Amino acid sequence: MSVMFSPEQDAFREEVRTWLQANAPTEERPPHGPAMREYDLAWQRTQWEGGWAGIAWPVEYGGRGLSVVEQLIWYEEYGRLDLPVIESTFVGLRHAGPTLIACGTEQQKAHHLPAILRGDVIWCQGFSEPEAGSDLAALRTSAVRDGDELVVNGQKIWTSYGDVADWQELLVRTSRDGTKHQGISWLICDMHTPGIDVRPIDTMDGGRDFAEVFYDDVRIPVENVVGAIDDGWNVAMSTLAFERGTAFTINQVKLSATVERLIDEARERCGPDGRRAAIADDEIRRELAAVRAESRALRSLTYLAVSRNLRSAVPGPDGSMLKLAYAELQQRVGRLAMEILGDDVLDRGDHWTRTYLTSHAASIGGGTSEIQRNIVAERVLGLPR
Amino acid sequence: MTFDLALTDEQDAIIASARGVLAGPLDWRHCADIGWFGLALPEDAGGVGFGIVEAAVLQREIGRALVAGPFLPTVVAARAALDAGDQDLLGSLVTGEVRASALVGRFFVDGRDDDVAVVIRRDGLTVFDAASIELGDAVDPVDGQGTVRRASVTAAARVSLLGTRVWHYLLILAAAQLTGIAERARDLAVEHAINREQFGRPIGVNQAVKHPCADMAVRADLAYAQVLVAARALDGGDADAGVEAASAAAVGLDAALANGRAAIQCHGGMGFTAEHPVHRTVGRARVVERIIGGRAAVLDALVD
Repeated sequence: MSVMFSPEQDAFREEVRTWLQANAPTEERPPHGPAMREYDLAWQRTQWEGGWAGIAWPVEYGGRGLSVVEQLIWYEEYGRLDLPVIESTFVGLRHAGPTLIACGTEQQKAHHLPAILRGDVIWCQGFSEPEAGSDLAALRTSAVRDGDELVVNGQKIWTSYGDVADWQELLVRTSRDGTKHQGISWLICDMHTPGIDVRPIDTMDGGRDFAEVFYDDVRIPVENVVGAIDDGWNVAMSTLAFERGTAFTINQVKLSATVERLIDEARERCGPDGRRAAIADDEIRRELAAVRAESRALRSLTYLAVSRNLRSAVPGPDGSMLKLAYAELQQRVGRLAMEILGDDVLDRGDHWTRTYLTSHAASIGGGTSEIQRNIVAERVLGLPR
Repeated sequence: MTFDLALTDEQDAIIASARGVLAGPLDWRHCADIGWFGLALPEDAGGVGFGIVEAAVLQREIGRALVAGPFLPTVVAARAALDAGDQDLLGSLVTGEVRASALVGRFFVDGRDDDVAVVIRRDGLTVFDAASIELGDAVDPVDGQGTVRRASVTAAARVSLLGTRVWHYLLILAAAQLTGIAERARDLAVEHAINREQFGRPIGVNQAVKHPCADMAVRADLAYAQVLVAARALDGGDADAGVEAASAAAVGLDAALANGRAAIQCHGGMGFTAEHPVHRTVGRARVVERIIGGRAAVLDALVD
């Protein structure tokens, strides 16, 4: 019996669990590069063949056409089985795909959407620039019309998986008239086009997921503009809210699992007094209890946000609240892990040390916590700008 | 059960009615007449027959109103009286004839001479008749408005109920009050940040003011969502209900205290005055904290 879900939803969950247990990859996911790409795409293809790709995508575009609740259940079961979070397919499935569904031409949809679901391609994002971070609309990478093509010059940064991507959702400046939000266009960019140079960025946790992307006279066909030319800001905003909705559910479920594993670690590892287990330390034990409580509350807030989403077509600023809470908790758990780990902190190869280091990105990527706080303060609370 | 945490029309009606009642001078009998002390009790026990979610949304409004009064212990004692089969006590509590106030250590909180006394622990609950309590001097109450008196027990308990269910019930309702306190702190701070002008503009344009308000909103929503889930879990007999309830209390307490602190700061000097209601957020939160046995006790119920 379940106190949150209907019998049909419980049955769906059972179906998801059974399928995932039978079909999920058991091999370790390669950390980066072509091997990771192959792993991620093969797993996406398996999901597509099993009928699980695009659970909440419309049926006409190859999805299951189910509600956000079924999507949530999928993520919960996925996270519970501790399956690898496939971030390389995130942009295609959760961002570029939904943007094409909302704003693309029939031709663009027919060409790209099935390929995303089938696991043929990886998409990346070309939004941030060295001089346009939180102030995204200040972007300067330019696209100048030349016949049936746009010629792109400039630089993007923080492009996750840029080194393995086939396509990019690329924001460029096509006009300098009007406000900075006007004159931006949303392009479908083939990452194999001549003139594109991708340079991976090493990060503090030992990862290389990010890249800088340089554009030197990159020619993109005009039919690759999504929405109207110069209207790319509205196109981009139409799906940014989706990124802040249930998109964190897998991470949230995995974070709950991380808290439970950390409690087990604290029972096994020696504590700060050098004699008893870490869990016998009052400060550590109570902080573990507090993060366990917070992780429950984060799940409940996800449920509340999904409940609200069922009533409105476009997710509201709830996503910003979820992201703030998630970032805060992930970092708190990371710091607590360091208390429990003792001297093993010194080894970046240790899972917990890496978890701690990685957690610093939680309040930066996908919109900094400062920007999220502005959104919550202005759009939820009505504070003046 | 359908997946939906949005409030029902009935729950919205409870909130609207409670706001009306709490806006005026409180009459205990009237609160009883409209079902406040038996909201989640079955009708054949004199209750209204709602679930714990309804009882929780009422406690949330009581929290928001920042009023003193033994609402929490009375509701929990009525539940315990039903479970223990003490019909007389149940009847007198539900009808408002008798109130139940919490005996916390050597202090009787928000209590009057003829109130029964409730002692709540993690493993159970005991109720003492008014005649079994010796009341001493009043102390200066932490929230600046309730009554706190020294007290000691002089005779045996009237009701002794063992088991954790009543503790979980208390934790959820306490969490709901704490959520209400956290929400009120947020709302007072936001109102002040919009209306208070310095240097020719509202102080809320400054991120040093705006961002703490956003953090208050996040904490209040986390606490609120967890109360709803915990209430459903306990109502539905979920095996995990105890963890959900303790989580609600822990998150609610931290939200109420952190929001209260931030809201007082947002008000500047006014926030520190006795006159302004914002300071009652931390005062009431501390009262609720002691009734549930303290933060450490709640956390120790989550990981031991």
